[in-house]
Amino acid sequence: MPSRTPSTPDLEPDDPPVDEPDGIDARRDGEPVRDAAWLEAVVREHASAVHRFIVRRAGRDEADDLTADVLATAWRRRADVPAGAELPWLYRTAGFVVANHRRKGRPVPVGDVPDEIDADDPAMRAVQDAKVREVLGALGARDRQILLLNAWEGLTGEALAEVLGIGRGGADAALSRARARLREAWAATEA
Amino acid sequence: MDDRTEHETSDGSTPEVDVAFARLQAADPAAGSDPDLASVLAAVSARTDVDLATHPADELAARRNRRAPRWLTVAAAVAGVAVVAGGSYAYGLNSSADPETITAAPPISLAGADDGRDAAAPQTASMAAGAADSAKLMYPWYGGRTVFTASGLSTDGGSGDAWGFDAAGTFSQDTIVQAATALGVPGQPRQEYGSWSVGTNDGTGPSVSLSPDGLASLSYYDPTRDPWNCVRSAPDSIETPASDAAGGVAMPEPAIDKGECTTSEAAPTGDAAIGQAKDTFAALGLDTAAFQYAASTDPTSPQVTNVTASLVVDGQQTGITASATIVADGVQSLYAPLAPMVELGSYDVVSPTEAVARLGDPRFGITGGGGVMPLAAEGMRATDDTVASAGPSSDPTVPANPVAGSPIAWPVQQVTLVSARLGVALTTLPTGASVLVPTYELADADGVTWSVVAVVDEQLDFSAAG
Repeated sequence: MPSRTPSTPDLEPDDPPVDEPDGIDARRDGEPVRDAAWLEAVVREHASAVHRFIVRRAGRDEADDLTADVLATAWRRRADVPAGAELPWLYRTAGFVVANHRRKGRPVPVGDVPDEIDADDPAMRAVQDAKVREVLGALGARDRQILLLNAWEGLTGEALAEVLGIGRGGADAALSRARARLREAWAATEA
Repeated sequence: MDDRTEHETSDGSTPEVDVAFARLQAADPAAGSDPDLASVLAAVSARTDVDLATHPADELAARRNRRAPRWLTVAAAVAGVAVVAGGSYAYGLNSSADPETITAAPPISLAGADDGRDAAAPQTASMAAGAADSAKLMYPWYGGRTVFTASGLSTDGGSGDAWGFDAAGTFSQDTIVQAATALGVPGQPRQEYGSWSVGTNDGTGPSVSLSPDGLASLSYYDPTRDPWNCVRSAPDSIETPASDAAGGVAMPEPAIDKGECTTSEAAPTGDAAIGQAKDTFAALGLDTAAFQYAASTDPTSPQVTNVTASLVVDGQQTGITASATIVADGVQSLYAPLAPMVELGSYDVVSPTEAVARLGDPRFGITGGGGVMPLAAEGMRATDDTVASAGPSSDPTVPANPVAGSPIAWPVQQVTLVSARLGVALTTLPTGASVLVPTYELADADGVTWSVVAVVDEQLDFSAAG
């Protein structure tokens, strides 16, 4: 299985739809091949949201480049992007791209990046509210990840589950626990 | 668990006290930040070798499908209406910071835009109506006797672009069928009172309708997924008390069927809600990139997020909006103007100084009878607060007798306009067509504004609308 980094353009304009490494054809059954117009629509609709996701977790300096990386990945893997649920897919990919970027630029195939979030979370550093920063720091990495997706990206339900890569029931429960722990940690700082 | 109130979230907490979460939301480091779309498109093009358009103007040109008549037919007198200057039309700003907000300049209003009222307004001064409120107004309302003076404004004319909307090409059975398909509304299309509709009106299922107005407005509503279905304050039907021999009156059964309480699940918020709204708008054929978005969730009602989209042209909100109500499982109601924008071309506009003169011209500004109104008038009338000015005491007192031979008081309001903003305003032609017409917003030193159409006389058609 060839490894590809997100920033490597590997398509010529005249290429036929690419075969994904695991053999999935770019054409889904009964659906049109996704073309430049599709990609442009995805970029126009979701570039802002993706950019903000990245600014929150990796800062502003690299956000433009990383946003373009995410959207380029959407093109390369366009067969996998679910119709009508592009944004959660983009967020999930953005999570991988950000984690990849944090590993000091060591190129890692996007698909190989684990779900773990670094303990030293730039999202916390960017928060100006000192008390929020303190409380976030008291929570586990997984709780933080879920809380930020809910509080900042506004994700709930099925969309949240897709971004986390887990089932709906698990996502609901995990969010509920994370919100409860946030309240407890908050109350603890006021004790 | 079954008797949780509509205010509880799915995790059982009462949102009113989740201060921690509200603070977390407010601490969003990316609030209000947006990338430059053109450079993102270019960067993605470079990485993928896919050719992506980088000039939004090209899209507009591509959509141009017919030329409108060169001269705008405007109702004979278009009154200036005071609009809040600098007031941010920040729809639905959450108490916490919104990730995406509307940053474009506020819209400019022209009277008659909303109701298409023929502007042959009565010239009678409405002194009686004004006097009662005079004490509350920032500018005393002298029945509309106002003299406008320009100070420091340019005397150079220029040009401005106008836009129309292809309602005629959009209003069709095909459009309603496509919309119903996109929104998942079952049923056959029918015409009712001039509108196309699909879906039942009896509250048992969703419905969507397309209106024959200047914007080809679409409305969608699914009553079965309305989160407020559970919260009827009075039952629609009261079961007749059983008359039993004991003479007791049985309490009426509440008609609220908890089985129909659709959800107390939290709706997506912020960008996630905007994403869903955008997806739906795009499926309906809107040019989602031409709008700016804001999402608003009332912390005490987390089942609902309201998304507003404001159509922006040249960095200014047009006043044309789309909106969607997002609940946990998606869009529950929606309003969208479907007619695509059509270029009407460039029109010559008067200079700001001439625009000020127009405010005194009966063809443009009605001086009496509800024409030019100070902004503060509207705001003040809406509340009972008396602000500033010499207001009368709350108990009426008898006025002093006038002195014989003394000049009769005949107050005239003096307004000096010091700044001008050229933009567009939505107006309705006598035919009902919607047009964005070049318009000046003029402001005095306090930021109170008046607006007047900017197109030169030669390119307006003043003939009476019959």
